[in-house]
Amino acid sequence: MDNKELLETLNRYEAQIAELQRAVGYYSKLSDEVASYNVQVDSEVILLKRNLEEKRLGYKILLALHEIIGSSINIENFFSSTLELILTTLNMDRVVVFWKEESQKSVLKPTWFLGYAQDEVNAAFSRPLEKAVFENAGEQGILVNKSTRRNEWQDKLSAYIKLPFFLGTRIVDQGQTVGWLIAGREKEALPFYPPLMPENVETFEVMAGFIKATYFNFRLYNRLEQANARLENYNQELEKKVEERTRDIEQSRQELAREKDKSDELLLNILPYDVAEELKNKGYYSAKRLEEETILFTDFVNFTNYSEMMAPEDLVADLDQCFRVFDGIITKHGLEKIKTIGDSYMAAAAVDQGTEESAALSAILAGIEMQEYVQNDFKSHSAQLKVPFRMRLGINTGPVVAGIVGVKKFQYDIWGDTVNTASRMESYGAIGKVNISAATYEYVKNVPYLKFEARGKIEVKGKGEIEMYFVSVDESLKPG
Amino acid sequence: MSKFGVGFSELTDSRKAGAEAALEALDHCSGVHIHLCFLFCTSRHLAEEFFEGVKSILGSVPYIGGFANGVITNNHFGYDGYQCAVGVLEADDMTIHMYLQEGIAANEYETGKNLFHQVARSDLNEAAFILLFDAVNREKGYFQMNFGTPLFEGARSEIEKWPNIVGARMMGDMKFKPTSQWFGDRMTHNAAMAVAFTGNVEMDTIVLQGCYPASSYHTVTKANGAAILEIDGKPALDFAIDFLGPAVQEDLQKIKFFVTLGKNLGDKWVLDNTQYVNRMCVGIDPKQKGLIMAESDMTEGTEFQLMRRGFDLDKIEKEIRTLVRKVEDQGRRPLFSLYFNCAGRATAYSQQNEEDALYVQRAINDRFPVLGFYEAGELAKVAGDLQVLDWSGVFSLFSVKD
Repeated sequence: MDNKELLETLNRYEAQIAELQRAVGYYSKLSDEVASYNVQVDSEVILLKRNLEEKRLGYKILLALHEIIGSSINIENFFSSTLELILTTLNMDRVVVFWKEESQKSVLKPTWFLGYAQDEVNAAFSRPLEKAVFENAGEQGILVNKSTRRNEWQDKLSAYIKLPFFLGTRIVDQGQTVGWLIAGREKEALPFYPPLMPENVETFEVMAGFIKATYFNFRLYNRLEQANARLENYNQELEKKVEERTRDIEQSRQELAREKDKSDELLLNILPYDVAEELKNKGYYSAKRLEEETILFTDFVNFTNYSEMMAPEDLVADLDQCFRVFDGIITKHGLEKIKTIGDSYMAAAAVDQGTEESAALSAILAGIEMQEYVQNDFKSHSAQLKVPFRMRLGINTGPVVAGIVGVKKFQYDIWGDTVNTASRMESYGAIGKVNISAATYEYVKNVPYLKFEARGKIEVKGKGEIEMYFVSVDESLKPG
Repeated sequence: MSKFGVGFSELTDSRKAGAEAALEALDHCSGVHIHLCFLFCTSRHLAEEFFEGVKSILGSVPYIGGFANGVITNNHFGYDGYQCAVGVLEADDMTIHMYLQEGIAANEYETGKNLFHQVARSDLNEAAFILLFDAVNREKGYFQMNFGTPLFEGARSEIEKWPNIVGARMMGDMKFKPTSQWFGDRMTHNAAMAVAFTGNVEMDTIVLQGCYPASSYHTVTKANGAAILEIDGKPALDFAIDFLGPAVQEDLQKIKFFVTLGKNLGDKWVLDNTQYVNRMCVGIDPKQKGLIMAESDMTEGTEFQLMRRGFDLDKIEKEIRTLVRKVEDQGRRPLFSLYFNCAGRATAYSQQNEEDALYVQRAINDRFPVLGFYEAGELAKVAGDLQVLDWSGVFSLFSVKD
């Protein structure tokens, strides 16, 4: 290749290089323009998407708030969940709810907050915020972003809540501001922390409405709960009182029952059961004629002599002991004690006494036992006496009239000729013997283990002749 | 046999949240001897309380973790809220080495150097490393990012080559509030820390990039730290305005999230986005007409392309499945996985309509535990060097031979 050819080749290559360089320049510019366009579109898409996301979050947060309202168990739980939702969903750094104090209606105090460290809370919220701040920071809502021309009140609020960029909305009840919901960010930077926009305030306004409604619902619910609790306490107290009262009444009733038992016992000590029952039930006892009553009388012979020999106390004590034993004996045989008159003891047995023995037999067996006691046991007891106790005992059977006389210290008594005759049986009896009338004899004459000693007819003063028998028990014939 | 358990909680009470997550994690282990506990929570939590809650369940075991903008487990994921996660490891036939160097806010280079000085002394070339460091520097009262580039330079001054290593730059929220970390049995701050596994364990990693190249190549012609001051000989801000069109001048702040630059570390003329290191613009400097980047590695002479953000979710699932199959084909049992995910990739902040975490969970399908978290930079090796990646997901699978 000669020089000319070489030069032509070189020129051709240079031209190609120049062309290639132009092409590179052209494609570089073209690719840069495409890149510029793409980068801008990408970025605008991101911003658009971010704005859409902000709006979507607005709806999302309202939906989530609904769920919180439905699941919150108390007001603290509600605010804690709601504030967390605002922080995490709307990507805020701090959120605070100012609320009117119950005691100071005009003071708005940071009541619920999240995103503040404890030392910030202590430092920032220890002093109250000037009342005028809220009145002047924004009439309905507050929006402070980088482009906002702030007034001094917004600066004061910003310093107080430690947020350079923030938004807030009133919480209104019946036309009155009851609180403020405020949240914000420490930084404003696209795309991570886009400026807070009026749409955010709108979302907050809706949230404030929910918060207000929920707060007052909770308050109402709390009041109802408190009222229920008070009612429950009242009921419990009432139940306690009723229980105490019931216990008192039961105690009183038991005491009363005990007293009544005592009273009944006392009454039965002085009255036969049927008589006592009628007296208790009716308040009085109607005198009754009893057709087959057996009357028993005892009397100590020469009692006056004993009384002279003994100290009165000892005499009464001895007599008391003897009559106590008699009480036991007649009770055992189903007799009813009528009364004692001095040293005389009077008892009666009715046909319906409910024992297996007949009334007359019961009286006789009681009389025999009483005589045995006086002659054996009581004699030994009175061993210091030179003359032992001796007793006559008489029994008669027949009709009597029974009744109660008097109102005070009333006494059950029986009257009639049968009683007088029984007394005579005692007077005309003999020491240590049981003297019965013929009338009584008729009731017991067939009792195999009784031995009778007929005394014949004996003239009784004021009564004429009365047939009498001494009666005793043939122990060999008496069934075991 | 080695075991790993993961637990999650969203309770607002930090102590209870820590305890709840730890309890759930422990459920998946025998609980006889925990050799390591990972723990992460968002900055909405009280760090000390959260730590106490975890310790109340696990007791005195080696801890490593810090704040995260969100967490991912097999059945949960979430960010910006009260999320926290705990992972517990029962290591059998495996040794765990832990390293801590505080003071990253004061000097990243020295921190990296001192941290890897400890590592170098241990002679752990074959180990699998996890490197975590605090993203937030508030030493001067305002936010500054702790950079990985000088940290790695410091590290490289102590080691011949990078070991098998992944990790994350940790922050607790997108506002870069003050952070805390946990190491050993205590809390720490401004920390860079590493944990290395040796013995019967292997770590396989895939980088799931979130950007692809969109423009021609351009060159950084002037830079100062993380600030790009000139591009192709023009003030960087003017370049950006020219590139994006005059409308962007209405709100210059928009530039910072419009612009992502990508360095191609592979063949310049082969379209392979796995070889890229993407760098987000995090601010503008109107005075110097500069662009502030998320790392200080866009130095003078760096060629880059403008990147479009976007990724194929199905590809994430497919790549993880492929990795798991590969490991299993080699006769190893997946023990657990870590997923370091860029917080900006979450749907709330990107044009994505679905969370990539969902696809990670789907790929794993509960066959082994995953512990992931959202942070401010994923650490992985690209073209042989450890890089801070933006807008990516780094998935590491730890496997053992039974």
